[in-house]
Amino acid sequence: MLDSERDRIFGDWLAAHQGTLFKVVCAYAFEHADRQDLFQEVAIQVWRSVDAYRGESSVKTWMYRIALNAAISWTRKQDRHHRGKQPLEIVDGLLAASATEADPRVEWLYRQIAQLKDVDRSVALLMLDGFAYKEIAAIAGISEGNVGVKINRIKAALTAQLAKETEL
Amino acid sequence: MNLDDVTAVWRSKDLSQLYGVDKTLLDLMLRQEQAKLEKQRRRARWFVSVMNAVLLITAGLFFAILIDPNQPPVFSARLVVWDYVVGVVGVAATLVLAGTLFVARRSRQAREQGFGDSLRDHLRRRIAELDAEATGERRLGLTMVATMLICVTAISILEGRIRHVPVPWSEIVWPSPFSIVLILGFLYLLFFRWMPRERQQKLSRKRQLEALLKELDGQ
Repeated sequence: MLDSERDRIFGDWLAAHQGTLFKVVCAYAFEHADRQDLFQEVAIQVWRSVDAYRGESSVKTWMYRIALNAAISWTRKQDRHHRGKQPLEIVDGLLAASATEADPRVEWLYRQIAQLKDVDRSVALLMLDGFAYKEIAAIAGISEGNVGVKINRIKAALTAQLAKETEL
Repeated sequence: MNLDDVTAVWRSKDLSQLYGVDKTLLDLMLRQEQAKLEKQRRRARWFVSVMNAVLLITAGLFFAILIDPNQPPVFSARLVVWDYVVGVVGVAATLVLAGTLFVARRSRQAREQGFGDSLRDHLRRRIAELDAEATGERRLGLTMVATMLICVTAISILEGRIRHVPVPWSEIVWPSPFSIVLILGFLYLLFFRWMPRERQQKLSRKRQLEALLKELDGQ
């Protein structure tokens, strides 16, 4: 694909769905430098994927899929990096945090999501954003039955944690 | 507060208010990525060209050994007309491959020169490229695979024939049926699975670009 066409489509997608990308980034990276790095990785993967988009799903679903795959790969790469095997390039300042405070309830959800495994984290994000089981199964690459089981477990864990913290 | 309330808050919050993207840095990052991809493509082109040159030199060298008048009589006496035929076919195959690559490159360059720098021209150029790739790629792929197979086979046969004294044709070790099945399987996948799928994707991409061009023309 030619550069100008790819850039134009990527620019449109980013403007319309950057909130989706930020959600994925925040769910998989927890420090500012890590979020910078992961956002860079996710943006590159989305930019590369523009050419492969065939319009078979909505752009939001497509971007979720790309971003989650990139985030899971990044987490694994990050583990290797921490063991001193793979250097990472960071474009400093790419992702700027604003002075606005995040909602404590959303922060709480991120803390809960952070404790889940990679795939469960994807399922939790998609569930919270209201995706149907079928779409979650297609994006996460697992069966619909498995999605149902995971969602029930995640909901039960979140409800229990919420009840516990409310009691306190 | 229950889980439904928290979920409703989650859906109502747009993190775009919390984060911003530096467009200049993002653009710089994407340009670096583009340069990296270009480098990979250049490497792939170099690889094919170098492989073609190696095949051409090897086939040419073996053919030169065959026709060298200073070879001992025992060598020349055991050569038959088929040795020369194999040598000529090997060299011809590499020349055809080089010619095909050269023509493909020239036609791509000629196609690119016919367009300007505007977005419409970029789109038209890409549509023309996709069209040419979708129609000519099978032919190009077939030519490349066929010439490489012919050349490698010819070189293997000649290598056996000119080692020390020519080995009789009956003693040449031919590839095992298993390797032949593997090669045929690969060719089947290449021509009847991967290339048609690639062609379909290109045609679908072409239709998308034509729709985008129409949309631009309507603006």
